[in-house]
Amino acid sequence: MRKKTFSLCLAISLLASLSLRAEDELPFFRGVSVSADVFGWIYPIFVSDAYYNNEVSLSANLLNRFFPVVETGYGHCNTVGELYGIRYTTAAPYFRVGLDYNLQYKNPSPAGFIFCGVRAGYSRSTYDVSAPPVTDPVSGLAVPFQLSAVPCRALWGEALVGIRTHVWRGFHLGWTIRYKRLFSNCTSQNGNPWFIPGYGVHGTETFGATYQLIWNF
Amino acid sequence: MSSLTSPSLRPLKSFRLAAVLTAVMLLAACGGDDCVINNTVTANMAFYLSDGNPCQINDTLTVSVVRVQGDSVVLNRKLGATGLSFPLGYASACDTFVFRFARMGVSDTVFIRHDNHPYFISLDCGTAMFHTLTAADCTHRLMQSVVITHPEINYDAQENIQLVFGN
Repeated sequence: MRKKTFSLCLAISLLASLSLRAEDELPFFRGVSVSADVFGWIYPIFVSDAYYNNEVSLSANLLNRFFPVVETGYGHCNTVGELYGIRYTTAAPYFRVGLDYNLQYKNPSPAGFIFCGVRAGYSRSTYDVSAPPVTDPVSGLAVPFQLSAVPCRALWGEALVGIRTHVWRGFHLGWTIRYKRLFSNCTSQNGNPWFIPGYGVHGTETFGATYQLIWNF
Repeated sequence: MSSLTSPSLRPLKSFRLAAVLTAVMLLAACGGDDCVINNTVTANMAFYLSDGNPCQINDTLTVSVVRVQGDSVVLNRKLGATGLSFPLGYASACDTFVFRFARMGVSDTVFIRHDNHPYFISLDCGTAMFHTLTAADCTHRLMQSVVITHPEINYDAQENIQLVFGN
């Protein structure tokens, strides 16, 4: 883990030093920003409370070009499938680290900028499943179906594009659309998780979105 | 050509780049899960001779599973059988199968011990019960031995048990 962190810092420093050729007069560090994802708060109120993620993030502005980001949140899922009446529940924290890249760094605008970025996400959770009884094909008797605290450690990557717009003083609004790909699957003897906190509904690939309130310091 | 790199058009280029990246992400994530037609998994048994060659039963074979409320037929009067597939019990740890050879008028009994694993597929595809075979044995009128070749019983269509007959 230390090696990975060191490699990430080295890569950021290298990219930043390359960009310094034309921007020697500008400061390397240009502040930090804190943001909260309102999509995760609005979604369960107005759309569905079956599953959602609440998250906040911290990012640094380097040369107005590179934005190393740390994101953390809490994912919830408590839903019943319509077809089979299966109840699935889980709730756990998750973490992401990554980097955003300002696509308009050469032409800065006070209105905001478009950016792309990458993330590495991790969550460690357990999930419960309860389903209507299943019929034993040998005895013909009904057998209860219950899974409790099935462990899941998930690692995934994200590629994203987004927009950040200036609203007032240090306050900005922004959104991101994220393509997510699961690297480590949580498949166990008892099956796959249906929802992974921070990632979303289980599958090799999925999508996500954030709508953020951002404060620059 | 120079206008393409003018500062006034750079935001537009960035927007186009972001739009292309979004489209690529949307296309990359297309796809979905397919459900299996039948959620019940079966153990796959094949018949062998003691020299290791597959064999065919030149008799009328009936296989039934022993239950408290009366036996249930798994294979009914099959001529020339080379194997069979059958479900295992969800609540029981051991299932007993009786093989009746009509022409020879003899029967053998196979005992299969297994662990049961409730398996969650998805909210849309339901649940299943997978098994791990732990032991197998048989009586020895015509049968010589029972060998577990692949203990995991799931949706993989592979041979799980070899039933070996004397030559």
